[in-house]
Amino acid sequence: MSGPFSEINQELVAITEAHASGQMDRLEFRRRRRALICQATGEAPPAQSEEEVAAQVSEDDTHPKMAAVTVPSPETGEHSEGADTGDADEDTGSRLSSWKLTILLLLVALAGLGGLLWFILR
Amino acid sequence: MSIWESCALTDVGARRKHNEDAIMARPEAGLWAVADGMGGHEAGDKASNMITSALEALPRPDNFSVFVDRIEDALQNVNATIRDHAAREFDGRMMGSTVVALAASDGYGACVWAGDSRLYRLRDGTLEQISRDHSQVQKLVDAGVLSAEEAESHPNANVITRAIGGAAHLAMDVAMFDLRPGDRVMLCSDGLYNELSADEISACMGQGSAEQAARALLDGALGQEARDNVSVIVIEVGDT
Repeated sequence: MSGPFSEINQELVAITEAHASGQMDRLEFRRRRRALICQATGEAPPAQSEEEVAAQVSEDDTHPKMAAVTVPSPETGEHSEGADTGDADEDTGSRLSSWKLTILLLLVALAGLGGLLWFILR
Repeated sequence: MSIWESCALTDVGARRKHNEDAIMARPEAGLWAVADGMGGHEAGDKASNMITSALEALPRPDNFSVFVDRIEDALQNVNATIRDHAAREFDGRMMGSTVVALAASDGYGACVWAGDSRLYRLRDGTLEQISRDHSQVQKLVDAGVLSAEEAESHPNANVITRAIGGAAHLAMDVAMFDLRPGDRVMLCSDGLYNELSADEISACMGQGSAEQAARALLDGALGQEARDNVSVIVIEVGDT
């Protein structure tokens, strides 16, 4: 095709073929195509596309998760052990409290039953 | 933005029972498209209508390069949907569509296409084909093996190498071109240019209004016993 955009169109064909054959990734292809189209239209290239922003956000999200899961520090381990012990004490304590409450309720019930029998048989 | 006068027409043609072409015109957004479906009734027409429906709903961003990205995104989404639909509903049989779209702004336009639907520009009586067919014979022409005249009558003239729904990875071609007041742009399916010569297309495109030109092109193809569906959109570039 002739005309003022012939060189730009040749470059558009080249980058499209490079992208189609897997030699250029999608983000780079889009960035270069936007630059070529803006060269033709006289517009300023857009600052950053949504997918570029999305790619950066997903990278930022990944790092803290990986550090927390795959590289635990020794301090974290000690802290974890301490936390586990505290949980065990709390469990034991709550189990003892429930036994005391059950015995107390049984005693009250027996006392009530005894009182009722005394009232009937006297 | 420029004032666009446009007219979009489609016809089943003289031989086919169903129209698998679809057309879309949004002059207020500077966007037009022709899609030529493949795969038979309820496959080809569904594919081409998916394309025009996706482009109907597309918002127009301020930056033109982002507009082109959005058009490609929409067509790639349709590509994935068509392939999924073909696998589920048609036992993996071919379901697809060619497409040619025009995104226009003041002084320039972008032709975005896959397949052998075409975009032409008529300026001062000179016709220029902006799109290049994604077809086997076009590859032979590009390689210098065939002349353009030989390509028209080649037995593989209807074998296309790219389409929406044709492959999982879809690359759309884009060509930029300038537009001046008085220029006419025409988008069409192969049902039109297979019936009319370049001289006949040029003569019809130059007639009266955009509507009269589109009607002349369609009637010209139908007058040649149109063997395929025929779709045409004519756009006239007005003053800003």
